[in-house]
Amino acid sequence: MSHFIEFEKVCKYYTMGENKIAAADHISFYVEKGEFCIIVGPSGAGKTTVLNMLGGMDTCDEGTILLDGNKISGYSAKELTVYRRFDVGFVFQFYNLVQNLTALENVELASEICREPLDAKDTLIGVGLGERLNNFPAQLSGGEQQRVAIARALAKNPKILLCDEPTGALDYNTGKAVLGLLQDTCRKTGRTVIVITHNSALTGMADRVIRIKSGQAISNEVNPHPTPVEEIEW
Amino acid sequence: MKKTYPKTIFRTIRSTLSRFLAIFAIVALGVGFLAGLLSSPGNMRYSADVYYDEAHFYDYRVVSTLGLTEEDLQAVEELEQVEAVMPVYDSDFVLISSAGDSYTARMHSLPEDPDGENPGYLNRLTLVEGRMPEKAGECVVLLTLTIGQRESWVGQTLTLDPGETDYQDKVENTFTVVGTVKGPSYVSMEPEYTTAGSGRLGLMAYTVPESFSMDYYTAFYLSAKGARALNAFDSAYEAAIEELTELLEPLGENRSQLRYEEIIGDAEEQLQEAKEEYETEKAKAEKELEDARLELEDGKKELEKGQKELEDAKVQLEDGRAELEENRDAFYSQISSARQQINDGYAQIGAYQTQLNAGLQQIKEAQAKIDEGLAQLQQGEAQLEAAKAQLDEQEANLSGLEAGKEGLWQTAAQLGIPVSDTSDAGALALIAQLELAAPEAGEAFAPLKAGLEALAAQGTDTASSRAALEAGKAEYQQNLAAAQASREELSKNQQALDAQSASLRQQQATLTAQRAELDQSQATLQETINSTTAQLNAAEEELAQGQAEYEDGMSELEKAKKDLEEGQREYDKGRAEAEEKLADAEEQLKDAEAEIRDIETGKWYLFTRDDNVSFSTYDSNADKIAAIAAVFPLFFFLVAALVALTTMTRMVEEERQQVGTLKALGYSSGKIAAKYLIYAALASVLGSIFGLAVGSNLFPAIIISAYNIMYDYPYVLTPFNPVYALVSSLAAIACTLAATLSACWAELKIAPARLLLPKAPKAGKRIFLEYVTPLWSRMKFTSKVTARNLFRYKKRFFMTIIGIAGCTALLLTGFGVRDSISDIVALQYGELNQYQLIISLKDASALQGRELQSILGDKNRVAESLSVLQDNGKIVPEKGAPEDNLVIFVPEDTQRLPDYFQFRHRRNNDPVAFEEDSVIITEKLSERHNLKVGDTITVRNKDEKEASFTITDICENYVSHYLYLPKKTYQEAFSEEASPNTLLCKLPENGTEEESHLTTALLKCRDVAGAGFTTELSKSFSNTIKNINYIVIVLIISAGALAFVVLYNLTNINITEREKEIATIKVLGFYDKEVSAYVYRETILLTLFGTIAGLGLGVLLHQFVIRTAEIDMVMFGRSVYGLSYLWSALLTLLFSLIVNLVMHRKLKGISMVESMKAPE
Repeated sequence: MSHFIEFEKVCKYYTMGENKIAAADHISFYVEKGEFCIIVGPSGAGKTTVLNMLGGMDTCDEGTILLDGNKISGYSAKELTVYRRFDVGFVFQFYNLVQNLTALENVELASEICREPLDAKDTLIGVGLGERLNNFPAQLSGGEQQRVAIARALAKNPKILLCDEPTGALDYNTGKAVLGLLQDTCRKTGRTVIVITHNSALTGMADRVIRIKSGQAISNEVNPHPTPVEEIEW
Repeated sequence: MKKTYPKTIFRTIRSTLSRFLAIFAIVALGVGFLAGLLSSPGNMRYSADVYYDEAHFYDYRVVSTLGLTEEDLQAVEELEQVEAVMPVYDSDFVLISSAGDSYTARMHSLPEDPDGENPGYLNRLTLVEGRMPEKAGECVVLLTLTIGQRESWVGQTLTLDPGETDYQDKVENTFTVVGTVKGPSYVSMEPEYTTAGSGRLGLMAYTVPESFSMDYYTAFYLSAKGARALNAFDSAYEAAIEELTELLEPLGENRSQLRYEEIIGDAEEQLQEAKEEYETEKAKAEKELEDARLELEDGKKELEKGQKELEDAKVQLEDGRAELEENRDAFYSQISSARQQINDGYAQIGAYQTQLNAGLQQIKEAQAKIDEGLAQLQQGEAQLEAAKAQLDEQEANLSGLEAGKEGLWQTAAQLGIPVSDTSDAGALALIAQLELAAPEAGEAFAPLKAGLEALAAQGTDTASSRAALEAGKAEYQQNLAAAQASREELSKNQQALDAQSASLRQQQATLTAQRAELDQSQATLQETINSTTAQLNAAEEELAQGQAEYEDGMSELEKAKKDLEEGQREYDKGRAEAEEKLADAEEQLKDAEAEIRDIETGKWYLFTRDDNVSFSTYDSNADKIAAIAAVFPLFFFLVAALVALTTMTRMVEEERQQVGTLKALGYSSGKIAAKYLIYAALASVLGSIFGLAVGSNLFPAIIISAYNIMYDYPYVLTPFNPVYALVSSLAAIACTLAATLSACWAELKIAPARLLLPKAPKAGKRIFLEYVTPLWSRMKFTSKVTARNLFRYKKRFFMTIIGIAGCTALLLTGFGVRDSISDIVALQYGELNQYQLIISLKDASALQGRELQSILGDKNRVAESLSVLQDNGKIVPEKGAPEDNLVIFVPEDTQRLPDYFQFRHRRNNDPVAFEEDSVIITEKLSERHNLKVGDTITVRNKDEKEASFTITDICENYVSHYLYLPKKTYQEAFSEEASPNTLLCKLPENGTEEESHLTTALLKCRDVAGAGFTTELSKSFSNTIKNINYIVIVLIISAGALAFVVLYNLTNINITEREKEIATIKVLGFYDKEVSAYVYRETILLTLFGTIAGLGLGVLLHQFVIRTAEIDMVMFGRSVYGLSYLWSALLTLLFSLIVNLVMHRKLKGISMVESMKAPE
């Protein structure tokens, strides 16, 4: 019971008209600290639900979620906000940058509210955007925007970095570069990174692969020799 | 259209219900408010008209200065256009209730059979309590909003005030109240003025015609054919009435001329008689006075005569007194010389006597000397005798001794003793021997011995003594001889003296005789004195008596004088009395003349409903509403339309992708646009219907009800006004649809492929602030975001600011209208007009009336007054300008007018001088005719004379238009006397007299037409203002509601637009508070900007509304109070705060998960 992240029989139900659908159906899995973990599964398997619950954006209806020994599943809305604020970094499929802020300001928006943030500028330089600090999102390419999003998540200095289909809106090469950045981040900073994808081809680069289907984790494997992203093709 | 497509519309409505409702609400508000306010004046009038129709309210009221006769009635009834005529008696007089309360009442007569359907029964009453009057002396009391409400009337007795001598013969003197009614003639709270009693009606009552005993009707009430079907406030009604006017006017002239000739003849005859009587009485009184005066004159003359006589007597008395004095003086001098002579005689006699006495004295002294000599002589003789005796004794003694010695010797010789010595010593020695020898013998010799020894002791002895004796004897002999000689000499002297004494005695006798003679003279003199004195005293007494007589005469004269003075006084008094009586009589004659002057026109007066106080004030109040309703809701409507427009535009933009999808699926542009148009149309049509349903009933109902506080109309009717409803709802619908269409148009032009892609998010941009590095670098990060957001969404920025500014402006206008209107009373009657009472005069001669003079002279009733001419003229306007009425105001005393009216400029309160060459007009007049200082104003006075003046200044004024001219200027310009017809009065500061009391007194004065207190004017104005306040409250509440909806809508748009951004920052871990602050910072800033802009806009809108709403004759206050700015701003901020609180919940409800899913 000393896993860094642990889901135990977590359930999440949605009511669609008269049907009650279980997006997460007694799902249980765990992730160790510092791992680059990929959760993979088909559309509608409940990946995003799991991520949302882990990231404190949603609550679970049953079961227990533990992070670093803390029981997230019992948190109130207020506690969840605090949890998001200090412990979680999010990267979305559609970047979700604030259009009205420059790249730097988007990062600052996040770093300003944290306890021990990383320097926003350094972080952006770290993701290779040293030249584009003062550009607005609309002036950046998709990959660049996603890098800003990653920088924003990282600058918060979170315990975990959660990425929901980070390459979904990106072309192949850009997607690869972004994944590489995430992998690098994990390796260099020792931060736990969890990436959700429907693309099984990506599993090779992960330390741990969790497969989800119909709201349940059907496997939880450790990949002793992860492949560098450059070598992965899809 | 197939099934699925409409479904999407309803789904959309359901999913965006709040937006749909927002459009619905804002359209409802805009349309309801616009249609409601626009139709309010019409509804007000309609409600009133329905009641007037129902009550068969008159169209015409005909009054004649000379009363109306049966013939007049017949003539009127014959007119074709007349539907019905109701002839009535009515009179104003004072009634006293059984409780002792005094009422200035108007008693009307009702037509016969008021309960039946008598078509001639106009101004129908509604019975409230009791029954209608059935016989003379019964009446019903009219209940209005202000009069008759509190008392319980039925059963009360009302008695004619004993002071109403004019009416004692014309009406029943006692009325019993049998019921209470309501009626159409007196509906408002406005006071009804009268010339009876206190000047204001305090009671209206109706009775049967039999209660009056007058030989003429006082008024006819007419209804015109076809007029009832028309709305009496419409111009159609006026036109219909006008036809009848044209018939009535000539008829009136005709009929009144006839009546006038009849009456004026009588009156003048009476006056003539009275005048003649006055003249005779005057002559008589004057004659009596003259007689008395003559009598007094006589008395005076007599008195003067008596006085003269007395003065003569006085002179005589004084002469007598002088003579007496003279006589007395002569007498006294005679007497004194006689007395002198006598005294001289006495003095001579005295001198002789003294001489004589001296002689006698000498004799006496000589006698004394003689007597002394005699005495000395006798003494010498005695001494001689004594010396002789002594000598004899001594001889005897010596002889004894010598005889003893001899005996011794012998004895001795006997005894034989030898005698050797015969001396004394030898004798002694022998004696001593003898004694020894024979004691017995010795003893016989003892005496001898003693004698011898005594001699021895004296040193002598017998022998010597013998010698001495002998010598003594010789001497004696000698002396004796001398004494003898002396005696003889003395005797000789005595003889001589005796002779002298006899001579003296002779002289004394003579002297005594002389004295006796003198005494005799003295006695005679005294006698003369006595008798003369008596004579003098008698004369004096006579004089004293004369004096007394004179004094008596004098006092009698005084008395006569006093009597005369008394007589004079009585005469003066009598004369004053007579003069006063004559002046009274003259005054009465003048009164009578004035009365005749009053009836001189002999005119019919035609009154329409416009002359009914309730009707006309209600109409003008409706006008005021109309004026406010013209601007205010329009602006209101514009704001609402703007917001509806924004909302729809936003919606179309939001659904961009759906539009793309539909387009891709092959739907035509028209069909796609139709969805949004239907959406917008549904919202705005439903909103309009709801708005119309509620607003066009609610707003008029509120306003009518508000006015019904002041007007007793029974109905609140809000008939649907299709024109206003259509105009306002179509405008709203069209506005929304046009906005939707233009938004769709812009979207539909874009190729479907691009539509399907998310709209390129509006690029972030640097704002100019960022180039101001020192400022930008100092701003907090959050402030930067806010600033950039504000400038990024320019459209939203302006929409929000305009929306909020509009609401603030509406609020400020609402408050401002109230400020402006309520200002008038305080400014006009508190600051500008410095007088409290206006007395209007029928004629300038009223000023000479004694009663008026005495009231004006009493400082406890009227502190001071100024007579002025108020000439009701008209301006001769420039082309296109209105022909306004104005008052040409000419003070009797130019200098004093500024004490009664504060001439000043409105903007800075600078005083304006009113001097001999001033021509001042009031501000509103200058505005309406665009007149400036130095311009020329042309006016026509009441006598239709024209004159032009160069304006020297423009002053602040709120009610009516005035042209202030000095007397001289007026007289020169119109070549007409500026004889005053108005008195402006200041009341004493702490006067205690009741206004009604003073009015009663003033109305009794000759030629006084009316007396009005500015307190009354201001009170009646305040009432109007109270009504407008209700309207203002409606405005403020509506503006508040609009503000709320607008803010809600705009904030809602703001949040919806930025839902994703908000979700993102929530995901980043922003606390709820921080999220709200992130959004609200903008909203608050926008609200503040909007509020500030709104205050500025409000000032303009207020000015506009005020100028539009102003009645021609009235200028409203032009400034808005500081407090109103504050309230407007605070209310806007409050609404904003409430909206933000509501929205906070919405913000909390934004789901992070949902928002993250979709691309932007």
